[in-house]
Formats: sequence, C-alpha cells, structure tokens
Amino acid sequence: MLRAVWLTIGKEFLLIRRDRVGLFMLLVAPIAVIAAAGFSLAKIYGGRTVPRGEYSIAVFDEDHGAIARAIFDALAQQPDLAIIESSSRRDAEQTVRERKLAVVGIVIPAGTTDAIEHGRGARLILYTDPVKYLQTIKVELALSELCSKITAGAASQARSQTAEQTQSFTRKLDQARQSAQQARADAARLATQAEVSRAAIEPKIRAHIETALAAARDRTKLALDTEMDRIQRKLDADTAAQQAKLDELKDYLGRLEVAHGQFESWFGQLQQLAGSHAADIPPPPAIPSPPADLNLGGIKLEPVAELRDARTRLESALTIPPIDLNLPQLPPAPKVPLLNIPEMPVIDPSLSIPGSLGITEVDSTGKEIGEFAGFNAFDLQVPGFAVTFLLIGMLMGVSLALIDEHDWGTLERLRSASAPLWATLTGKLLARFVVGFIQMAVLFAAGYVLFGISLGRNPVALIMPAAAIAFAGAAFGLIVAGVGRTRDAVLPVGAIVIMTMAAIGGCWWPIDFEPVWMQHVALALPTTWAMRAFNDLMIRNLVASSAVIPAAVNFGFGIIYTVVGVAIARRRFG
Amino acid sequence: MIRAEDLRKRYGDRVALDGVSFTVNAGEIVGLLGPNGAGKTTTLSILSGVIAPDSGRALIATHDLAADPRVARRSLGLVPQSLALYPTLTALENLLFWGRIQGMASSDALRHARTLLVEVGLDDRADDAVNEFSGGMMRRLNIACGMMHFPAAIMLDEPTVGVDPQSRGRIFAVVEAAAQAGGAILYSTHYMEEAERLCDRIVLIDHGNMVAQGTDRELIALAGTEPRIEIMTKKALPPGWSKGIAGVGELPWEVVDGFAAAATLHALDQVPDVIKRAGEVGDEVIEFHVHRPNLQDAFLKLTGHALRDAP
Repeated sequence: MLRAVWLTIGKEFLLIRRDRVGLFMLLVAPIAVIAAAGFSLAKIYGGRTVPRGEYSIAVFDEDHGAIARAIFDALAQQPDLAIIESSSRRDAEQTVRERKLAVVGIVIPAGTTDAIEHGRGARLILYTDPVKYLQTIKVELALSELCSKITAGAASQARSQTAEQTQSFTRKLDQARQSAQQARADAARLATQAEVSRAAIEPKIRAHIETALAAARDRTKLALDTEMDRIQRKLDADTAAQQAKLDELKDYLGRLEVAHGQFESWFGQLQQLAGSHAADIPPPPAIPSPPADLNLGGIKLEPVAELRDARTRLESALTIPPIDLNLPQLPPAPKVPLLNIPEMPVIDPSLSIPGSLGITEVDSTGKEIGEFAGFNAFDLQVPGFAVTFLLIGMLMGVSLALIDEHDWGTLERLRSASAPLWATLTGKLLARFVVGFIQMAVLFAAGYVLFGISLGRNPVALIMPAAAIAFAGAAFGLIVAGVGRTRDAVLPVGAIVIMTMAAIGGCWWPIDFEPVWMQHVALALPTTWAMRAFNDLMIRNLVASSAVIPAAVNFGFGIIYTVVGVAIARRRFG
Repeated sequence: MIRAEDLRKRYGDRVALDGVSFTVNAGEIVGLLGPNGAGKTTTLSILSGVIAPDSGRALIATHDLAADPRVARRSLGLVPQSLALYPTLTALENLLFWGRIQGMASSDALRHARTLLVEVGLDDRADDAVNEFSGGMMRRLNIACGMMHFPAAIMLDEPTVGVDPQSRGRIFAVVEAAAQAGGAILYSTHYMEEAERLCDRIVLIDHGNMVAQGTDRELIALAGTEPRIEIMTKKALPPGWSKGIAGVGELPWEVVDGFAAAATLHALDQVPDVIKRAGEVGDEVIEFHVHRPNLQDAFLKLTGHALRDAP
C-alpha cells in the first residue's frame, strides 16, 4: 500500500507541475496580492516600506526659537514626512484644506520656545483634513511623540539644572557646616589658650599691681605730705588771721556793749524829755544782746592738731596690705553655638519638576527600538496571504483534485486496482502537504527578498507553523471535497470558507482589529493559530518556543480534519 | 476468467441487478449488451470491485473478489466508461502510472507502455499531454491503461462512445489482440453492431435482469426473428401482392413519400422472387432493402422494447 501512496504522491507532483494555472495560483498570484495588499496597507501599520516623503506636512514657524528648530529638525528626520514651509497660518491651512498638498498643517506659535523654557505650556496648532483620517492619525502620532520628546527634553534639562543647583547648594551647606565646626573648634582652642594665659599672667599682674600700688602709695604719700604741709601752713596762717579777726570782734563787741549802755541811758533821758508824749515815742529798736554764754575771750585759736593725726592715719591708710590678687575666673568661652545646618533634603521626585510620561518601545529581547516604529506591513501580509493561498491551493489540490479524480473516473480505476481509497487520500494529502510547505517557503523567501520581511530570530522556527498550517489546510481540503458534491459546489463553498477563515483568523489584518467575541470565535480556526505563530516569530520577534503551542494546535486541527475528512470521503467516494 | 454468480444489487427500492450470472473464459470476448440503465455498469462495478454486491459472488481469474480482493484486482484491468486518465499527464506518464500502481516494475512498465502505445496508434504522441488528444485517442489510451499490467481479466465499459471509425477499429484490434493473448474480455456496450462484430458471446441484460446469453446467432435464433425486405415501387402494391410465394408475410408499412411495402421472408433465397413479384405488381421496383435479423431484433423480441431506448 505504501507503493500506492508513493506513486500517488509522484503522480500528484506531476499533475501540479503541469498545472500552470495552479502553479500561478500557488506562487505568482499570492505574491501579486501580497504586493498589492502590503503596499496598500503599509500606511496603516506604519512600516518602513512607505517611501520617503509619503506624507507632506505644511509648517509655519512663528516662533523662530530653539523649540521650533527642534521641531523642524525632528520632522525632517521622519523618513515618511516631507515638509512644506508655509508663509502664514492661512497659507498652512490652505495647503491642507484647499490645495490638499499636505496631510496636516502645523503652526508653531510665537513664544513657544519661551513658554517651554520658562515652564509654561505651549501648544502647536494643527490644520487637518478629516478625509485623510489615517494619515492624520499617523502624523499626529508622530507629532505627539515629537512634542513629548521636546517636553521631556525641556523637563529633563530643567531637572538637570535643578539637580546641579541642588548639588551646588548642598556643597555650600556642607562648606558652611564645616566652617561652623571649624569655628567651634577654634573657639574651644582659644578658650583653652585664654585659661592658660590667664594662669600665666596672674602673678605678673599681681606684681605689676603691687609695684604700681607701691609707686602710687609713695607718690600719694609724697603728695599727701606736701599737701598736708601746705594745708598745715595754710591752716596755721588762717588760724592766726582768724584769731586776729576774732580779737577785733571781741573788741567791737566790748565797745558795742558800752554803746548799748549809753543808748539805754540816752533813751531814758529822751522819754523823760518827751514827758506826756513819751508814750508817743516808739520804742527804740532792740539791740540784740550777745548770747549769754558768749565768751569770746575764752576763744583761742590753736593750730589744728587733728591734721597731724590725720596724716598719721592717712599714712597708715596708705600702707598697702599684700595684694590678694584674685583675678576673676575667665568667663567660659562663649560656646559657639552648634550650627544646626540642616542636611540638604533629598528632593522628592514627586515634588520636583513633574516628569513627562514617554514611551520606550522595546523588542522582545528588551532592546530599545526607539520611537514607535510600527512594522513592515509585509510581515503581516506575507504570512497572511501565504496562508490564504495555501488554503486555496489545498482547495484546488485536494478538494477539486479529488472531485476531478472522481469525475475523470481515475478514482474508480484506482479503486479497481490495488490502490485503496485511503492510500489515494494519503498520497494526495502528503503531496499537497509538501507542496503547501514548499509554497509557504517560496512565498516567505519571496517576501524576504522582495519586501524585506522579518524572518524573526530564528527563521528555522517558521517551519513549525508553516508545516502545521499546511497539514491542517490539506486535511481541511479533504472535508471540503466531501461536503461539496461537485466542482461547481466546491468552488463557492471552499472559497467562502477559506475567505472567512482567512479574514477572521487575522490573515488580512491584525486580529486585534476584530471585536473580542470574534477573536474568541477565531480560536476555532487554524488560520488564527498560524497567524499567531507567524506574528510572534516575525513581528513580535519572540523565541522559537512561542510557536510550539500554535503549531501543535494546528497539527491537532489537522488530525481532526483528517479523521473527519476521511470519513466523509469514504462515504462520498468509497 | 471472469465469473458472475447471481449478482444482486439494490439502490433503495430500485433493483439494479437481479441475479446476473455469466462466465467469461480466458481468450473469450463476451459482450454485455443492454440499453442505458440496464445494469451493465453496475455489473462491471461489482466485478471490478468498485462496489460490493448485495449478494452473489464475483470471481476474477478464479480469485473471489470479496475474499481475496487484492489478488483479484491485480488480475483485473478495468476500462471505465469515463476517460479515466490524467489530462495534464502525457500518454506515457498515464500508462506508467497505471502500470506501476498495479505493481509493475518501472522498466517493465516502460517497455510495455511503449508496446501498447504502438498498438493503439499513439506512439508518436507518447509525450503529449492527454488533454491535447482527440476523443478517439483518449479512448484508445484509456483502453491501453487498463491493459498495462497484463491483466487476466479485462472489463471495458462502453469503450467506443464518441469514437471515430478509425479509433473504433484500433480499439477492436487491441481488444481482439488481448483476447488472443489469453485475456478474458468483458465488453459492455449498447452498440449491437460492436457486440456482433467483436464478441464471441453476448449477455443480454435489461432492467437488471439477464435476458439471455449466447452467440449472436443463438440469440437471434432464440428470439425467432426472420429476414425482412422493404420495397419501394412506382405504383402502390395492393394487399396480397406476394400471394403465391411461400413463407412470405406481408407487413403493414407506410411511408410519407412514394409507394412502399414490407414483408418477412422465410429465407434470404426468396429475395429474387419477391423483387420480381413487386416489379410486376408495382410497375417498377425503385428501391429495396433486405434486413437480416440482428441482435436489435432479438432484443426487441425478447424484451418488448428497443435496445437503445429502454423505458
């Protein structure tokens, strides 16, 4: 029976080789469709296949500052953007909305640079064409990234400056703190030195004072003696003068007393003379009488003896006792207050200049990709349409070929020969599996050469999903052959099923475009798992093991399809 | 040797075969004759192992097809009614495939394929794709494919449908050569002439029943049919115009244009007498046609309807 299988495989290859239309559908048509779809949809996925200058944008610069230059430079570096410089806002708007020469018009308002540099917000003005929705989104995305970068750059610069200033301030605080500590140390050292000096100078001071005091005493004693002598002499002279005066007074008082007596006598005579009028005569003024106890005669001025006693006492007083120089303790050196210079607090990032939230795209290896790069649309279209045309090939190669064999009568002849149906089916499936696998390999190679698709980290890993979907597709062709009774029935049935499987399975667009419920439905389709594996390997650049489960699922689908397909085919052709 | 033993087959309520039995011996060509839908293809399908009978037994070269299908099929060469060929393969590639699928070694297959291509007149087109062939060429190649592996039993199902006379002649030659080589040939056709021309024996089949079998003469004799003459004369032949010629029976026959009459004959040697009488009575014999009894007549006689128009 293996001979029948082997011969059937060989015959299938001969048939395929002679079938130019089939070969065209297997290899050329997919490349043509892939090229059409890939180039058409490249804009959606933002791939690098978009020609340089694909999008034109009108730019009007009112700012003429550093930010404006940065925007210009960044836009100029965008490979798919071409810049049209506008002369005014109106010109930019017309370029977009009336002349339709640009996808988006950008106005960089005056003061943008100043606002950014001084921490204020600034906004670019966009003129868009709503019809060019996707292009606008792409340009807006690029601009958003650009603004984000500029803002982040400014914030980063401010943050850097703040950090520098903080570090400078911290350094100065540290210096002040060190200076204060030095001052405290110096003060302590000086206090110690003062104590030492004080202890050293005290006897000197004492001696010096004693010497000074002795000299002062001598000078005082001399001056005192001199002055006392002078005073003594003066007092003696004054006493003698006063004694003379006193003697004159005493003489006067004696004569006054005589006069007084004469006046009393005179007055008595007068009153007598005045007779009756004596009463009219006013009494004479009373002449005071010297105090009764006044005894001027007893007064005798003597030289002042007390002065001599005073001299003696003064001299005694001038005798300086030993000086008990008890110098007061030096007041403690004033403590240099411990300058509590606070540590420079670590600036809480949340309290610092707010950071900007940016995006860093990294690949599965963690390597930074840079700006949002999108992906080569052909990385999706090549496997997607390769799978689609693989299924179409299976439809023609298995389903139609089986029906053709039935219609030609060769199936009946095979069955009358020693080739059982299962051998024919097996040979056909194996041949188509190999052809499908080769088809996938050729299309991927063409995609690599013509469209620069990524083959992932390990191109060999692509064999797994390719082989799995080829197997599942071949087996599925068996089911279609059994369900479709005639060639005319197989074509629409097969086409509908294949197109639906391809569409829902994400062969034509990323499956994430579809609603969630449809994505769940898609799990029942081999196309979904094939595309998941291809996307993982080619676009997400994951490791080879990521394709194991999807490939296993599709091999499972293939087994189920084979069992069901053989059962249907046995009933249909058996 | 091919042997059908009481083959019965039903498709639902419809009886396709109802107890068909016959034998084709080595070196013998047996025609399976019957109108379309009579059960010929069903018989061949059972005998070739494509379908299984409800009951009965099929033997190919003494091998029971049900008990030993692999060996039996190796002894069988089927030439189906449809052109069981791969259109995009060349004639040689088709032959090699069918030969090798039947177990031939590559070199043997190539050698015999070249021989067969000469026999069927396609040696100069060996490397041309079959879809470039005429219908007759395809028929010839179709037969060659069935004979590639030197089968002991060959079954041909309507092998000359749509074939030009030249191709038909070549097909006959090939079939006869295969029989002479010792093959047991079962030749299914609804062309009576082919059966008469080619077959040693004929199995008449109708509505799944085997009506009769034997040589053409045996079948004609079995049906009891007689020669017939149709005559056009200048004047109309009145009833009783053949009176006096023994064994001649006048038949009612009308033609639109001209005067004609028909009559059965007992034997062909009565033709001159009948022509002479018609000329005398009808003034002049313009045209006459003698019809020998054939399988068509026998079939009509045996089944009550024509061979080509089964109800």
